[in-house]
Amino acid sequence: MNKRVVIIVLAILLALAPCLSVLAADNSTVTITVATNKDIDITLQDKEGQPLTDWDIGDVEPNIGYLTNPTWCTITNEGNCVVEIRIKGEDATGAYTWKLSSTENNGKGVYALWYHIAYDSADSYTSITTIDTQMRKANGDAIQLIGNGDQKQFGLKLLTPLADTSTGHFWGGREMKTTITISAVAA
Amino acid sequence: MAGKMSPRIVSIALAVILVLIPSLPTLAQESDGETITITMTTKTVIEIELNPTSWEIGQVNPDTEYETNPAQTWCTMTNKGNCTVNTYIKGDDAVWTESPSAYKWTLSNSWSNGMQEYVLAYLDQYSSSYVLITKDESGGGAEFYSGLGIGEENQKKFGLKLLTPPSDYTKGGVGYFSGGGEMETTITISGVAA
Repeated sequence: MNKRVVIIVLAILLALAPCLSVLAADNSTVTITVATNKDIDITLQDKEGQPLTDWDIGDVEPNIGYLTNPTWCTITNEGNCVVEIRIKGEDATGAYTWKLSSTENNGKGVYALWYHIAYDSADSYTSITTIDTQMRKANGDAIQLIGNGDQKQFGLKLLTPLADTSTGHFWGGREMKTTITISAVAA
Repeated sequence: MAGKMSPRIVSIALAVILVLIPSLPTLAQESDGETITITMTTKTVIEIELNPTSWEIGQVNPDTEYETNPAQTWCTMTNKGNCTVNTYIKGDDAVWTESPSAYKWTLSNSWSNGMQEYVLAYLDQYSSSYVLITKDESGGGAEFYSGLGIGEENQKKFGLKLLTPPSDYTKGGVGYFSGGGEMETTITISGVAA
C-alpha cells in the first residue's frame, strides 16, 4: 500500500477512536398490532357492470354442453380484506329433478357443471358440485381477491342429462332451475 | 614481607583491571530499566431491554383513542449494558399486514389524526402529560430518557397511547378502514452511551 495512504488511514482511525463509544448504540422495539373490522362483501356483475343474477340458456337438448363466455361473470371485492372465493351448486328442479353430478359425468337425470377462470389455461374447466369448494385455477392456485376493488372473471359450462325418452329427447316444455352460490370468506 | 605485595601479583592485578575496563559500560546497561506501557479500554456494552415488547390492542374503531394498561407504567426499560445511556424514541407508519405496500396509516407529526393518519404518544411514569412520538426519518429519534443508569434500580417505565384514523368508508352505518384485518407498527427506542 502506498505509504501516504497508510498514514492517512491511520490518522482517520486515530481520529475516530475517541468517538467510538459515543457511536455505539442499541435499538429495542415495541410492536403494536391492532385488529380492524373486516368488511366481507363481493358483487357479481356482467360485462356491462350490471348485477349478474341469471343465466338464461333457453331451450336445451340432452347430453349437450352449453358455455358462457370465459369473462361472463366478474367477481369484485367490495369489502376491505383479502377473501378467498368459494363455489357450490345444487340439483336442478322443476317438473322433476336433475341431480348435480359429483363426477363430471352426466347420466339420465344427472347434469354436470363447471367453471373456467378467465385467462387461465384454455379449456381448463373445474367441476362444481354440491360441496362448497374453494375456486382454483388449473394449476391449483386458490382464487383470492386482495383488498377492495380486486376482481376475477369466470365463465360456466353446463352439460345436460341424457335423454328421458326413447326417442332421444327430454320431456318437452319443462323449465328447470338451479342455483350456483359464490361466497367469500376472509383468507 | 608483611605489608609488601609481590611485584608479580601487582602486575597480574593491573592486567585484570585493564582487561575489565572496556566491559564496564556494558555491565552498566544490563542493570538499566526499560518500561513498556500497556493501555487497554474496557468494551462498551449498550443494551436496552424493554418489557413487554408488544402491545396487541385488539379490535379498534375509527377515530378512537387507546391507551396501554397501566397507562404510565406499562413498559419497563432497563439498561442491561455497562454504561449510562441516553435514549431516543421514534415511531413508524402502520402497515396492513395482508399487503403492506397496498395500505398504511401514516404516523402524524401532530396531535391531529386524519384520513389514513394516526397519532402515537407516550406517557412516562413521572409525567402528567403525553409526549408525541414521531417518525424522525433522518435521525435516531427524539430524546426520550437521558442518563439512564445501569440495572434494575434505574429502570424507567412508560405507557403508550394510539389514536386511530377516521374511517375510510361507511357501510350500513358502520365505519371501516380499507385495510380490514390487522395493522402493525413499531416504536424504536435506541440507547447511546452518555
